[in-house]
Amino acid sequence: MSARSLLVGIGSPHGDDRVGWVIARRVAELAGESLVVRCARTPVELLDWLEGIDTLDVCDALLSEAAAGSVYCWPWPARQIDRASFSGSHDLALPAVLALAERLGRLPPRVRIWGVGIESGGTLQSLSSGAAAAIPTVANRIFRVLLHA
Amino acid sequence: MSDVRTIRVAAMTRVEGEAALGIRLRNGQIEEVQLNIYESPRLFEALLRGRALEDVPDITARICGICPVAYQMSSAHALEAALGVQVTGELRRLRRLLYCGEWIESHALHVHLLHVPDFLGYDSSLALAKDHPDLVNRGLRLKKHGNQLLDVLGGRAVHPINVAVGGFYRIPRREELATLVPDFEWGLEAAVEATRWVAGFDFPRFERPYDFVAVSHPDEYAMCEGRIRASDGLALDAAQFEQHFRERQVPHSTALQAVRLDTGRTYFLGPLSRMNLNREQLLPTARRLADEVRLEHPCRNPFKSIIARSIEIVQAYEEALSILKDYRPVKVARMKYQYRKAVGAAATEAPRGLLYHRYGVDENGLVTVANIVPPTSQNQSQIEDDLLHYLPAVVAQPDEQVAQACERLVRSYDPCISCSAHFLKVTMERGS
Repeated sequence: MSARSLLVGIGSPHGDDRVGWVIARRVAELAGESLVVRCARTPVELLDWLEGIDTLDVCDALLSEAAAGSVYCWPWPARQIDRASFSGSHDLALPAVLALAERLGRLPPRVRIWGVGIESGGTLQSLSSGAAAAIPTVANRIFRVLLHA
Repeated sequence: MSDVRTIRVAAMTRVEGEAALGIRLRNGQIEEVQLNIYESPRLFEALLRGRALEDVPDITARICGICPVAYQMSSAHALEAALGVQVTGELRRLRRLLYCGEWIESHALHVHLLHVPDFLGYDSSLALAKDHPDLVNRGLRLKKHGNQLLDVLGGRAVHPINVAVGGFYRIPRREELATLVPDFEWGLEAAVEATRWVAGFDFPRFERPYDFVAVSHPDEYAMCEGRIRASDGLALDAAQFEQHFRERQVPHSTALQAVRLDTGRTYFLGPLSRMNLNREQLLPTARRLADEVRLEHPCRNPFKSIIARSIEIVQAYEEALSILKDYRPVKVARMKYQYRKAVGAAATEAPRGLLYHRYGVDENGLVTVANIVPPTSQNQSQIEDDLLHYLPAVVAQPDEQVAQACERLVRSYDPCISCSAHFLKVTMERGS
């Protein structure tokens, strides 16, 4: 694991939109103090945390045709990320924030995006059974990738 | 035979939320302009009924990720009015400090990342960042300061959780605020420079005889408290709002629109209204700057809202610094109150304009009635009216340029569409 790795979970307390947070916290438990883990509500918060970081992993909920709990991993830049419907706000959605960080010279040399398929990000809803069941597996997979990075 | 031209902005960018804009011309004459907000209704008022009144500030904060403090402030003040509670002294100053944080983060985001590209000929902040990374970095740093303030005082940077009916849940330690002073001193200077910069932009020549409306206070640049004033002399308490302003449903929008009851006319909310009605209450640096950049008083050009918004960033830094430097923590975080059956209303100044809340509560402290009137829904019909008057100057241009010009005008209002009921799409029909 890189000494300067950062894992950011993006999400909210609503429904499956929280999977980014839950997975990031689970990876933090597995990794202990060797990994910096943060939870963001909006992707733009990333921009404040990149100084001195050489590997960035971002985990976010992904609305797609795939089943809840499906996991995708893309290096940045990737065409699939532009087409993916991440949670986030309009022009400052995750792909825009990463592109902006790149333009501003803030983006670390290694960036991976983890997209986790969800069913619903509805207000006041709990995690769907599909997303909840996938969390341990996804967290372990991210941890193993970080461990060998 | 008629010739119909339709211009539709399918996805307006650099606004918070999703909406469409449709323009129809017949034989070259503008026939219809519709700001079509098609987001699902949020139904927060129904969600609040039957809940403990203490839940209201945290629930209403979820209405918006950009201006949650405004929702917390309007709800807290309305409930305090119902309960007969007056928040004073250092607690009151802390509430203004929190609001300063929101004005800084919201205004800095809009000015530097969403609106400036319009004036420098870029289609996005990403394109702007390629040629002017320092400008974008400055905006991001200012925004960060606002979020830091929300984090320290509000409990977290987005959707803060520390505002309570009667005050706060937790009072910050003196050193928590004092550590922010160096950043805010830098921010004040940077905000002044940014205002001088935007004041030098080329602005479209477009003025209207607007009816400006804002909360106004004789002793301070109004944020949380004051009377509602209009530029035609109307002055009223927040409790009288619904007697003078009427919401109406229109078929093309899930957001209610608003007009004045007495005149039936649209009205204008936001930084330009506040600057026109409350300029004398600006703090010294902000007031001198408004004079230095020669912002007209009153200014009736909506495109110059970016100047007013930038001056308000200076105002927010100036006030925040004065509070950060001499803050003395108090022992009691919130005022006590007794439940009673009553109705209370309040209007505070969200970054985008006046935000009105009214609540009924019962003797068990449960919410019986809730009414929330966000600034963007009030501005919505004013935006449509503006477009009707602005279009003749640009309508001879190709559809794409007409759409861009219209989007630019809409962005001057910094609409928070997700609050009002989210994307803008412009449809234009030209025909004869």
